[in-house]
Amino acid sequence: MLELKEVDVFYGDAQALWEISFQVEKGEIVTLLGSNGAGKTTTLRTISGILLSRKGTIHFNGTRIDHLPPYEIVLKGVAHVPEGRRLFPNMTVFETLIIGAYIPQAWERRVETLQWVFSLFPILEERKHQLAGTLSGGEQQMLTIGRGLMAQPKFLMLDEPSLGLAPIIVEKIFTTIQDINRHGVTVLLIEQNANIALQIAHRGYVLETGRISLTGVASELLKNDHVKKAYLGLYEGVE
Amino acid sequence: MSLKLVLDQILNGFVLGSMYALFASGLTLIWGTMKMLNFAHGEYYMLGGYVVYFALTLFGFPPLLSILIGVAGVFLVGLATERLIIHPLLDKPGWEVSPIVATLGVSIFLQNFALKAWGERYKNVPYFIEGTLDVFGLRIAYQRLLVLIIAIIVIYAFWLFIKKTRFGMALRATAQDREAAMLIGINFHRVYMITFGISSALAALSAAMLAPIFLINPWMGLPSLLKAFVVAVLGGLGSVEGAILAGIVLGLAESFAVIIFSSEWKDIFSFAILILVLTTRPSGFFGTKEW
Repeated sequence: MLELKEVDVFYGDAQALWEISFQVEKGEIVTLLGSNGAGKTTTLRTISGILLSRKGTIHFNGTRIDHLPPYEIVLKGVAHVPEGRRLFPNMTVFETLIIGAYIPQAWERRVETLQWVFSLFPILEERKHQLAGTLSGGEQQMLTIGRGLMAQPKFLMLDEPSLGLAPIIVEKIFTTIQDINRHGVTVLLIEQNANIALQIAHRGYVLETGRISLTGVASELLKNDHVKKAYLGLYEGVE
Repeated sequence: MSLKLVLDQILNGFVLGSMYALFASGLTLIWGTMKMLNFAHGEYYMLGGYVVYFALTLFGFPPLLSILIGVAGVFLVGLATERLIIHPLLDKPGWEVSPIVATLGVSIFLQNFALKAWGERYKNVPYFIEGTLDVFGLRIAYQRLLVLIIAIIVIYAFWLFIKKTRFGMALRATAQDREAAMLIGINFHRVYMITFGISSALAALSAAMLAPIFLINPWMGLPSLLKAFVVAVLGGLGSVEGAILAGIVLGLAESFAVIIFSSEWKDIFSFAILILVLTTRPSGFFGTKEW
């Protein structure tokens, strides 16, 4: 479904990604692991068109999408749920979700999609008339995911959905990500929290200083010594 | 000071204030969405006045059609300005000043264009409707009532458009977080262009409505622009609700200044209010914000 081939990305003169290649198949949950600054967010921002690659290609369902503007990539069925819950602070929960269905094909069916999002995150229905900026961290994360789903994407990219949230909320959100995936949405999940990401993912890639250093099915990565030491250990240490 | 005079000035205040509100809403809309000040806003007002004048006098179109032509024409000029002049500057270094310099250039160009093409003589636009309404001993010109009614309808429609429609919500989303808006499929270039068009159209509409009351000339934009800055800053830059409220407040204040002092005191009054409000509430009635 998504295929990156030898993608190089620069911030000015500084190279951030070196020959990144990976693919995500239809129906999968794939996770991209790595510590802060490894290039995870840069990778997502390049796929969604906010950053431009200098070399390499990105294909989505057979069509080349690198160098398309972000709003055209969304039309192809790619939704990017950005890190840090980038919400519209002065819009209500309801308005935020409705405008999430901005693209024409999603706008037609916004009422049905809204029902689905409310069934995934019932709290959002309760908070319908509240301003997005006044929600708790967990609710804001749910709303950001919900807004992404309103575009009825075939492919959903999530940037650190666990960031700064209590473990019980993280668990709820990750269970919902599995539900979304079962509903037919392919997922690319970026996480520092390797432990929980590998529990729901089918496969994973490890990103280190802008390069893919390791890849494998999730259960193998969980057992891998390097992953254990570098990511799982660190996580447990923080706990 | 008779009661009749007071009532008369209250009505005048609302008429003038509603036009300030319309005109300044356009200015604040652009600031709220694009974070730039449009120094050519007054010239869209001037253009609106001229188009309506020519439509009425040269072509003899009926008033309503003339207003529509004026508003639609200036809407297109606004679109073109954004695409040709603002668009190339977007996201380039120097965005803090470049739109100011560029729109100042547009303003100078349009003023001199008007002077060259239409001359320096002031143009007098006839009233759209003659006659007066007599209630409670007051004689209210239909023209003034018409201004007020159209202002109320347009402000309400504009508010509905911003709050309820797909494009209005996309506009607010872009104003609040442009990158997040792009990620849900909103083409901000399109939003910016249309925002500019709407803003110019609001300026043209206020000119069209006021044209029979004031006179049309190439320099009429500047004092209006200054007034619009007062209104927009008073309401809180970027806040459309603020611009509407501040417009009415200023219109009423000026009308009372006219009774208490004389009409020359009007501007001193409005700038004094601005200074007074800013010393107590530096970000205006509603605060600088994205809506």
